[in-house]
Amino acid sequence: MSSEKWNACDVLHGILSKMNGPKIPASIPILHNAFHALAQETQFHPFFDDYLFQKRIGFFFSEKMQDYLENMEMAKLLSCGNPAFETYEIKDKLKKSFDEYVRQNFSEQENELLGRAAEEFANKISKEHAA
Amino acid sequence: MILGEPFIVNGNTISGEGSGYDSLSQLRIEIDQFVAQFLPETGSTQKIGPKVVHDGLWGTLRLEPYEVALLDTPLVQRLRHLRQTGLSFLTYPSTTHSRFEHTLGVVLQVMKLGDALLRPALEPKKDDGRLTQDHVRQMRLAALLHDIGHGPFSHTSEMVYGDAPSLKEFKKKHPKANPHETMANLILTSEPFRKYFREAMQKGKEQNHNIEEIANTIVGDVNNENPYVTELLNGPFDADKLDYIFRDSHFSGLPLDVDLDRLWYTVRLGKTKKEGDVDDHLVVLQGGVTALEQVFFSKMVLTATVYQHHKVRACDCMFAGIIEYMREHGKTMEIRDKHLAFHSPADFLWITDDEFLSYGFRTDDDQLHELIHNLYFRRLLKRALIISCPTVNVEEEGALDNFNRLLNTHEDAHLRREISREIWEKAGRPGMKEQVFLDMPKRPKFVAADETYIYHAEPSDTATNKPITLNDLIKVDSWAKQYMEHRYRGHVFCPPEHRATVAKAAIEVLQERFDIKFKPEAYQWCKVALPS
Repeated sequence: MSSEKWNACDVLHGILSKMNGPKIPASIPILHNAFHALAQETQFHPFFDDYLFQKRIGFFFSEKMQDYLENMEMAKLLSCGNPAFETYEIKDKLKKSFDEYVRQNFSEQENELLGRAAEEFANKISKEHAA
Repeated sequence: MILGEPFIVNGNTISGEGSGYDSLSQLRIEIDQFVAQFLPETGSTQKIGPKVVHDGLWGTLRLEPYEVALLDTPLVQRLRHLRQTGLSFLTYPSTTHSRFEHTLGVVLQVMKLGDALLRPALEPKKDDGRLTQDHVRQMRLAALLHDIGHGPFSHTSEMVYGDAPSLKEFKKKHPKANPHETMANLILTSEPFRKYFREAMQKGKEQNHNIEEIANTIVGDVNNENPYVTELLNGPFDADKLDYIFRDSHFSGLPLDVDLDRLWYTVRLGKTKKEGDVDDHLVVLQGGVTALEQVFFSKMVLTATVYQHHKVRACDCMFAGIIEYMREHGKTMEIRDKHLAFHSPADFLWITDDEFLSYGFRTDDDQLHELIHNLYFRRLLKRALIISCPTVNVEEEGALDNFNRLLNTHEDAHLRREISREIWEKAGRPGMKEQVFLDMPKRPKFVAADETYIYHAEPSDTATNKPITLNDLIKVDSWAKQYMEHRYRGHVFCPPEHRATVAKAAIEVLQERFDIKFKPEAYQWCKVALPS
C-alpha cells in the first residue's frame, strides 16, 4: 500500500490529526515508545518504512519523529507550553492543514487505516503513561 | 545535476551497483583499498614502546605500546590534519584544533570516567568487579579510533557524503550510526585493519580486545551484557561529549564550564527505573545534577553560537558548492595517485583539510579555482534571507502547514538544491549556481536527559532508592528545545553583491512553493534592502 504521494511526516501528521483528544504527553519516552509499538503492528507497516528506531536506555527513539514534532511545534501546529512542558496541544490548525493539504495524498483506504492507527496510538500512549 | 543524484563523470554514470555511493558492499571494497594504503607494513610494530603525550587542555596522558602502535599509523595521524570544528576557524580564528587532539582528549576522558568508577572508595558497599580495567582499556582503544572515519573539515564533509544510499543501508541495521561513525566502523572491520590490529595487540600483555565490539561501540550498538562499558564512549554523558564541549568552547573563546570533578565523584553504576531492568548503566548521584545540566547547557550554547553560526553555515555551503561543481563538471582532485571525484564517501577519506584548500592553487579550472579560493581567502557567501519563527508570518491565514514543510527540507538535500537553483534562476543567474544556497540546519536533540538516571543515595542502598531521570527532575529537553527553537535560523546564502536580487527571488520562490509570507525582518536583519 506504500505510496509515492505521501511521506513519513504526512503519516505522523495524519495520525495526530485523527486523534480524539487535543492533548498528548510531551514525554519523549512515552511518545516514542508508543510510536515504536505502533510501527510493530503488521497492518501499519507500510506507514513506517522510513522510520528507524534507536534503542536508548529504557525507550525507543526515532530521530525523524522528533524532528517532525519539533518542526510542527515551530510551525505552531503543536504547542508545548511553558512552564510545565508536559503536554503537546494538537492545534486546530494541524487538523485543518491535514484536511486541506495532506489528506488528498492518501487513498480512502489509507485514510481509514490512519484513523485506526491514531486510535491505536492513543491506546499505546495510555499504556506507556500508566507504566 | 544536484547533490544527492547519480553522478556523470567524463560521460560515465557513477551510480548504481559498482559505486560506493550506492552499494554498501562496494563501499567496503573501496575502504579496504584506503586502509591498505594507510597502514604500515606488517612487522613494523616491533620497536614500539610507550609514549607520554601532553595535551594543552587536560595535561599528561600515557599511552601503552599497543595503543601507540595504532596511534602512529597514518590512519590515525591523518587526524592531525582534520580540523575538529570544520570551517569554523574562518569565523572563530582560534578553532584550529584537530581531530587528533580531540581523540587524545577522549582517551583521557574515558580513563578519568573509568578511574572514577573503579575507585572502590566511591562505593564502599559494593565493589563487585562489574567494570574492569580490561573494559576501560577496550574503551580507550575505541576512543583512539572513534573518529578515524572523518573526512576533510569533519562534519562539514559529512553533511555532503552523509546522504549516500550505501550509508543509509548501513543505518538500517545500526540506527544510531552517524555517517562518519559508519565510515569508522567499516575501516575497523576491514580485512587489512583486522590484521594490523591483531599484530598491534601483541604489543600488550594479555591484550585480547575485540575489534568487532570496538567497531560496534563506535556506531552506538550497545553491548547487552554490560551496556555501561559502551556508555563510557557512547552514552548520555560520555567521554566524547565531555572532551568536545571543553575543547570546542576553549578554542572558540567561549568560556563554558562543567564541574567535571563533581561529575566524576558522583558517577556510579546502577539500574534504571524500568521494571524488570537487570542491566547496569552509568548513573549519577544527586550531587552531580548541576554538572550534568552544565553539560547539556554547554552543548546547546555551542550549537547555537559556534556550530550553527550563520558564517559557519555559509562556509559549509561553500564546501558543498565546490563538491557539487566538481561532480557536475566531471572534475577530480589528484591526490596520491588518486583521482577523487567525491561521489563515493570513501573518496573523502583520501584528502585532508589543507590538501583540499591548496587544490585551488593547482587546478587549471578557473571556476573551481575561484570557488576554492573564496574559502581559502575568506570571501564568504552572505545572508540574503533569514528563515525563522520571528521572520516568517506563521499566523497568516493560508500559511497553515507550509512552514512545517519548509522546515522539513532539512532532511532532503536534493529538494533544497532544487529550490536553490530556482532562486538562482529567478534572480537572473547571479554568480555561479553553486553559490546560491537554501540552508535549513538540523537541530540537535537532547534525548540524553531522558536516559540519564539520578540516584538520591548510593545505588547499593536499595531500600530507599528510587532512581529518576534528569528530565523528571528538570525539563532539560524541553527548555533546550525551546532555546533551539528561539535560536533557529535557516538562511538563503549568496555572493554579497547579489543579496538584494537573491532575497527578492527567494521570497517569491518560497512563497510560490510553500505559500509562506515573510516579514521585512527576514531581509532587513541581513542588512538587505529589496529592489523596488
